[in-house]
Amino acid sequence: MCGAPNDAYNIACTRCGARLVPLTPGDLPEDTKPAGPTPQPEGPPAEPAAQDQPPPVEPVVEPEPTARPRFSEETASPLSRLFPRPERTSEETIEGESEWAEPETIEPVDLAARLSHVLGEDASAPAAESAGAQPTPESEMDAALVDDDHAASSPQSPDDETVPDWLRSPLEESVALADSEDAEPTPLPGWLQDSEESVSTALGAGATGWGKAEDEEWGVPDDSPQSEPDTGIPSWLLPADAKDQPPPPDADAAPEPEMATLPDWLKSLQPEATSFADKVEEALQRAESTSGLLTGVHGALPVEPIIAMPHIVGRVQESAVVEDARAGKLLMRLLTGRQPAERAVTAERRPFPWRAIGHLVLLLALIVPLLVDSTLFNIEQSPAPAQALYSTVEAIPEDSFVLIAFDYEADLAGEMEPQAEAIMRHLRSRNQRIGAISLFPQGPFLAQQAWNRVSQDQADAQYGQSFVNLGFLVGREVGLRTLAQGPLQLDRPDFVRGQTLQNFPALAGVKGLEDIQLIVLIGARPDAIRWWVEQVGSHDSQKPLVAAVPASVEPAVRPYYHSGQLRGLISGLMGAADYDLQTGRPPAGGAAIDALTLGTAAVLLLIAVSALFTLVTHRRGADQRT
Amino acid sequence: MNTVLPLERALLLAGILLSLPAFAFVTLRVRQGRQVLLRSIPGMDLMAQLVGRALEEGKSTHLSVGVGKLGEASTAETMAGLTALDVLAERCSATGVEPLVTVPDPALLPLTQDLIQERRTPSSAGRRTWATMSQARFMGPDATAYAVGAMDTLQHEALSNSVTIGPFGPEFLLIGETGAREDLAQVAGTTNPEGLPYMKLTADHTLVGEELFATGAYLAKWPSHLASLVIQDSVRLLIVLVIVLGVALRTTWG
Amino acid sequence: MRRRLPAAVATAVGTIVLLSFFTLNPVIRGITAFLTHTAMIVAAFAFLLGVLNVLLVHVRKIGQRQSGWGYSLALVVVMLVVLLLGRPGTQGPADSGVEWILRNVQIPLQATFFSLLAFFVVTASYRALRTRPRETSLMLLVAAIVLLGQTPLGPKIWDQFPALKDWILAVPTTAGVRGILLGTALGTVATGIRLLTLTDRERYFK
Repeated sequence: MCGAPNDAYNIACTRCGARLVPLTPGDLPEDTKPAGPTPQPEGPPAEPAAQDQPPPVEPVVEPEPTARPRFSEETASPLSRLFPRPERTSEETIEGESEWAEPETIEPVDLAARLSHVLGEDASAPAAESAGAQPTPESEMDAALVDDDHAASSPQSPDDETVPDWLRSPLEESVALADSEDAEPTPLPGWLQDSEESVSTALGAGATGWGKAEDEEWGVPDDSPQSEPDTGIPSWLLPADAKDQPPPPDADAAPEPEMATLPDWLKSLQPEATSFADKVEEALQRAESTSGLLTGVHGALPVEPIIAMPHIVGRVQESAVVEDARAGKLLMRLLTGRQPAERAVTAERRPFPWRAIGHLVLLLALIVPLLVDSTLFNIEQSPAPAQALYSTVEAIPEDSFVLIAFDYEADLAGEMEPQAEAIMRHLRSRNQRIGAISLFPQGPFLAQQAWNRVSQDQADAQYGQSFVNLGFLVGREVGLRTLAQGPLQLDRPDFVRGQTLQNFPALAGVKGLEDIQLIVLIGARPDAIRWWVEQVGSHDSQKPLVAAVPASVEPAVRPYYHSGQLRGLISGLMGAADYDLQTGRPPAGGAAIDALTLGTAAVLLLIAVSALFTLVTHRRGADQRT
Repeated sequence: MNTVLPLERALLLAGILLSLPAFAFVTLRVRQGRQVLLRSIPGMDLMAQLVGRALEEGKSTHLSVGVGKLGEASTAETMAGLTALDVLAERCSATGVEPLVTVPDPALLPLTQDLIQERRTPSSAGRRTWATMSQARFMGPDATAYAVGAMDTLQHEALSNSVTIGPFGPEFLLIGETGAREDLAQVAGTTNPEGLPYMKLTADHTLVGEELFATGAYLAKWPSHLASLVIQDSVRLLIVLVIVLGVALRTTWG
Repeated sequence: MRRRLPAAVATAVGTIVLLSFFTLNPVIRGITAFLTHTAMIVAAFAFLLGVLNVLLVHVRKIGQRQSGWGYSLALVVVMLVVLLLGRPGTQGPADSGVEWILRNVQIPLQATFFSLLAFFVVTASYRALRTRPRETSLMLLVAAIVLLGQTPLGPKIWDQFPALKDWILAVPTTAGVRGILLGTALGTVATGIRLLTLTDRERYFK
């Protein structure tokens, strides 16, 4: 902004072109309309000071219950002023505009009426009608404004005494000018008649008629300024009783006024209105400069709107929206109203159930092998990490104590239990004593379930002698550090029977970490493996650690295997089958492996179809663009 | 039990002790106005806009600090999530947008509630209402239960976006896919390789690995965070040089 | 004092625990053991906060008849029942009632929800293919190779799938994972230093 003083209702700065009012469709008509005569204080109209003081008409205006917000003070919160709206996509802009711009702010009737008043139109509107009709708050407001204007500026007004001398001369000049115009009724110059016709064309049929219809529907008397008698004198210059005079019975029947002739020197100054918007702005500016106490004071700076409005620079051309406010409103309805929603609903009603079909295919691929207990796919060879795990277990002397960490929960039990059971069977075949511990609350339950299944086919497997459930280790990493640094806390109860741990034969001779020959980590998360490796493995680097993890976790755990921190590693259902193969048992979970394999195939198939579909639609879209 | 401090721990201790004066020096320089160049990270750029978007839409913003718990090795990741919460909560308090935080560890509850409360503007500070306290919600102690609770939150609360920064595993897919179906703007980040592919599939932008720890430096330009970022990058460069040198030596001389 | 005391406690505790990692001094190790036990107790008591928070959120939801309040009611009832069954004087979490609920409600529910991942992967892949076709195509191509290499189906299609899968996991994936772990370790150390040196104290110790 260049800081140049601009008229109150200028849309753009006259010097730099910067936009003075924000560009919301709902605000534009509100901004451009005069919003009634400018409230004029009774005191000296020193511009900024006058704005600071509440004008005397305010008490009349404030009780107005349906008073429209001036600009966007009511629609825009203080926060929205504090944080300007960021750049948005076109879709967001559409959505946002519907929130920011209240459709009610588009009121072409006022604009048309006030423009008509500005242009001196509608001399037929009877003032008596408005006086006789039941006054609405709005009409009261306008009447008060008119009265006040009149009282403040009429030479006959008793308040005339309050007008200071420095303002008296321009006031008298304007009155003289008005008197001279009054001598020739409705002396519109040709260039202004063009404006009038344009206004009538653009707004009269649509906007003005629409506004009148609204007023009639609600019984609101047409008390807009256009209803004042067309004397060519602004309302505030009329004598007090002039408003009570009956209007002419028919404006068309009035004698055709003589066309006014402008002096040559004035014609040379006449601006060439090239567009309707220019004409409107010009008319508005003229209105402002010839009304109120500031008559004759050109370029008066209205402080309140300038301060209250956040000014957005740029896109002055957008003011063309004024040309057809009704079309703008219709456009807003189209963009944000019923029709797009209907379209969206229509689109959502009948989507082809691709997602459901895909899910059904996957569900069948997973369930059918389990239902028929199929054994389509066989494991024939075992990978190196599984062999390393097997070798590590084999290297431990018999009747040793092995700690198994059941660090998984129910979500991955389907993938972890076959691995845990395969390792436990191998340990039991070597007559090892097993202790189960868990860093997760569900772990002890799951460990007990696994042991129950393993012990079913082993006659010598007894709880307490071959296996003991140490329960939940609180604190995860912190608990592991305590486990590594101190002796085992064997004075607490076990998970199953609630008996003191040190009484179980399975824990005979076990006092601390050094008495544990092997630690098996059945971990569902990389963190679980990392905790053991960092807290326990680093404490005693000679303590052998092996791990069984879900297939998805294997990439994250492999570095520990390659670095030697893990002596062996198996992963997923396939890992369990591999391990069974190592121990000479038939691979467990044949149906589950089939389900896994077919499910994988289904997923790959669906992804391939998705990729193909995406490729086709992208290509089709590209062809349409070209 | 070993009686001698292992070599790698001694080296680590030396590294930490050496980094302390360097950290203090760089922090001082940054506080004095030294500029730190930051490359653009799309996830950070989007995160900077999320509160504004939530304000426009009149909705809340969801933040998750992962499925980790305080006191674990992943605490640093959780702290990175809390840093993001710190920044977002401050912006939320300035705009009136309500942050909604879901946590898997009840020990995080008072921390997150205090963060939300203390980042409020002075005018609203001290108003500890039930609603304010319920802005941080405990979902469940294990990862899947937490993810299911977060799914429910994303589906039933009026949310504009979801920021999920912290330790996440495959359970993130439950959260991320729900967020995508609800059309939420999503920024996700983790150091867990298991969770990263699912973030790539569902989130708008993903913060990978150490990018998590740059949240305070990128979004709030806190000097200490900028300084630690500089130190991290310097050490990383050093490590890369050592790796390249080691590979070259090993390749050349076996 | 309100700021300095918590800051001093945080620094002292962090430093002692860090030192215990680098020293074999039994005194420091003993203090560390005490502190870690204390942290475990605090973490256990924090669950009470969690229970209160769950009650607060869902009782509000029930009271205000928000959408899905029926589920909140079920949640609160089940939570109270489990608390009652595992009350002091019983076997706690090993109580048969608690075990029954865990086995027949919690575990199936949790497994079911986790199995949703298989379905979500398909839809998420499709969406990602549409929004980011190039990188998603590459990612899914590698995923397909690994999946085929992990299942018995791969060798039936091409006998080199397992070897290719092993190479992908051992070389590019492990390299990437190590890079991430390295960066994470640096970030973790940096975060720890910031906390211990209290450079963030003005934000966290008000």
